[in-house]
Amino acid sequence: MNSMPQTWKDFKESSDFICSRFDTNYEPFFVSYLKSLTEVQLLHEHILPCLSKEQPLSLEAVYRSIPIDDKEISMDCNDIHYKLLHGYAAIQQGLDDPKTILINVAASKGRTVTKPEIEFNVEGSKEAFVESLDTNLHLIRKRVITPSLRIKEITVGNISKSRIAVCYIDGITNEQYLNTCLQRIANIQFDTVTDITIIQQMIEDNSHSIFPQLLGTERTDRVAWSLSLGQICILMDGSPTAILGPVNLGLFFTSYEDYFSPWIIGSIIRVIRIISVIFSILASAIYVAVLTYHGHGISNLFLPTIISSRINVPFPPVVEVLIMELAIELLREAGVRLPSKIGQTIGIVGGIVLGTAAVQASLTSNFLLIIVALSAMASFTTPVFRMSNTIRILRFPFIIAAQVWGLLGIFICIIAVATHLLRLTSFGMPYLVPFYPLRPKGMFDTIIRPPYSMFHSRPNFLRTKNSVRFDKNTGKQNKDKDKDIDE
Amino acid sequence: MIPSVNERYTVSPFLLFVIIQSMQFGLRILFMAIKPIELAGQDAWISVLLSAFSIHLVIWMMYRILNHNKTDLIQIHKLFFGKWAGNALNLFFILYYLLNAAHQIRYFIEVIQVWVFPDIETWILALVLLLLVYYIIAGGFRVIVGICLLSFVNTFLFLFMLFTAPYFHFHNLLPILNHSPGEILEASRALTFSYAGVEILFFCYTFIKTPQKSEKWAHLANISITILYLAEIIFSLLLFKQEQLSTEIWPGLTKYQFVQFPFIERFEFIGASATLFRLFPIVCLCIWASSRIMKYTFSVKQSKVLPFFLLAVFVAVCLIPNRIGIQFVQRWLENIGLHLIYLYIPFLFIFDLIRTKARKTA
Repeated sequence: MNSMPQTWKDFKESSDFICSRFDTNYEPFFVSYLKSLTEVQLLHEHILPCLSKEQPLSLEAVYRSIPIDDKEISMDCNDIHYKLLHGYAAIQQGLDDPKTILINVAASKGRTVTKPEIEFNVEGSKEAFVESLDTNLHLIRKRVITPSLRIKEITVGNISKSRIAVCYIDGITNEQYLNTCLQRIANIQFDTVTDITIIQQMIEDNSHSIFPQLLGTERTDRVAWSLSLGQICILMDGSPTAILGPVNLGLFFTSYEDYFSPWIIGSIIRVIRIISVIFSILASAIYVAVLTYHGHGISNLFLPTIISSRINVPFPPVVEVLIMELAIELLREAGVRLPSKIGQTIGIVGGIVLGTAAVQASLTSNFLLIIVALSAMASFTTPVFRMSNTIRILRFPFIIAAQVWGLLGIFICIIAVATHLLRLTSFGMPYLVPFYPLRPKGMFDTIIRPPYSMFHSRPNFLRTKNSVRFDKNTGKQNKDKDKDIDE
Repeated sequence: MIPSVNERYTVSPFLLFVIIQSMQFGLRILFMAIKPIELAGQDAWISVLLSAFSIHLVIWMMYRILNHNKTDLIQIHKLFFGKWAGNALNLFFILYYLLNAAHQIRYFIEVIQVWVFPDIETWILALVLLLLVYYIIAGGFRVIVGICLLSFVNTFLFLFMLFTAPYFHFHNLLPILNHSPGEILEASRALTFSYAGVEILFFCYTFIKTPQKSEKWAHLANISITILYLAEIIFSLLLFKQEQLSTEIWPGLTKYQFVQFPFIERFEFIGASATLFRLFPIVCLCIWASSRIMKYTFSVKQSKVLPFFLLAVFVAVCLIPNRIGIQFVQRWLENIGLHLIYLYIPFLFIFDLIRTKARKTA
């Protein structure tokens, strides 16, 4: 072990680095690898036999005789280090010869493909991405069976050397968006990138916005669908999430499950979801505004209900609302951090016991409890986790504005949020498209989920190179042609 | 010399509809019915039609000037009248738009002080509104137009006027034509202020993707405004006696008192707060236009000039003390608007014609 090629002087100190010497009657061979990364059995069974032959061997002869396809001869020191750190084994002859054979004997140790946990669905496939990039690419390749699926790999981070894969379908995806994406990833200057969400924050158009400008998903079918629409998918080794871009605001409120139900049901559910998001943002703010300033605005039929439920509450409405909202946030945060079984218990204890007790102790009104619970529930209807976080946070400025100027404050807040959304872009695509800039043809899959006969073209706001998904006219012929009423 | 606008910053021609509509609409709908009805009584609707017709003519003239020179008014001024006189005219437009913005904001604050929050301080509300205006304008023209589009939704609030239907007195509309042509024309003149705002076309022309094709949208905007104004005038006539109306300040808001829902007792505080959506487009467009004129007249950066203009508007808003002050400013703006639309634009039109004729013969 005391003599090894100069290439490995950085690795010597690590205990998992192995450099074994094989003496021949010519120069000795050195086989080097990182034990923690390689499939040692593969190495022993297939590669070492090639070296232990009696006759004098050149490096080229060894190279030819190795029965593994993923192999190369390299002389670049950086490349050799990089490959070794990714589970390759290196074979060198002599102490000074820079020529090195690199063989891929990487061990794939990782989780097996499991069910999606964040974007759970009742119908449809139960396949989610895992941490291994190669497995994830395999899952995508299995769903997008076309030679024009392109995968570009980039390495990011001086220490972590994270592998990032950018997938798109050539001939569909707009190159302007692709170049923006590739350039932003290439420009990242950071030492350790451990998760794709970090990449996401670095390449987003406006990193100071609470609105996500790229969509994270763990569903393989959603990625396949988005790729076929002309979006770009970014994956990272070690992260079970794929991010999609460019996206618009509407996409964050579409669940992929909408596409599994009949279009009428899918559309209704989607509309309910959008209404519930608006409710979630505005409900408690309106409660504060009405009870603080606009009490005279409520009808006589409705007023007694509110007054009787609030009669013993000692706090002003805004304090009452903030306490309740914070309590809900607390429950949520506690539920997330605990194992799922305990989490459920926390939910029950917190939700039912605390809620009832708070009302009985006149800390809050029944009426408010209903509003806060409903709006908390409504914020979870958003299928994308990041967006539901955004909506939870967005509620607080509205509540404070409502306390300051009532309904006027809420309106001012609405305009401020609208302006912010108008200014946002995703890889340069306006965030509110197709509503602004108005693209009537792109609106067909936003608020409602239309039947598949209408999906004949890709959304025009993605500016795809080929917008036709199928021929509109021939696509309809699969129905029985001569069918008439009563025949 | 002609500043071309990068296509990334231009908007589709149909959005001109929204721009012109929100520029004309403003907060004027709240009080626009009083004066014409005072002057022409139940014949005020004829005045609305007359004004609308004349504004169509003005839009036509504006398009002839703009299409002919293929640039905005800032450059046309320099082209027609030379550097000094052109810049002086541009400076006048800057002041006009800033005053307009200040008036709109002060007017809105007045509405809020009367209808919603009697104790609210003028300066604090003005400060918050102007900070938001800064955020909008800093986003560029497209964002401003987006806000216009959002405020367009507010027009549907107008549909709540239908709640007033049970209280209509149709005999209020009769007899037709018992006012002299002079009175009707006088009412038309009073209406000009409600139609002023079309001159924004002069400045946003270069920001339209295919400006030559946008003319129909400008006319459509004017038609839609006319329909709204007609509805407003006729609803006012149907609901109020004429003597009653003269004691009203904002009949547009009073009408919301007729609106009733099972759970909302008084709708007018919603209506009054929602005028906010009407305020923002007009203020943003005014300040945007003045900062843009500044940019091309004195070659300074728009982003540098914007805070100073907002500060100027803020000071102006704070200096207008009360209702009397607002009406004083309003009379000034009415006069400027009237001369701008019926004297200056036709003058430019004729000047342009003569200029091209002279060039051809020379």
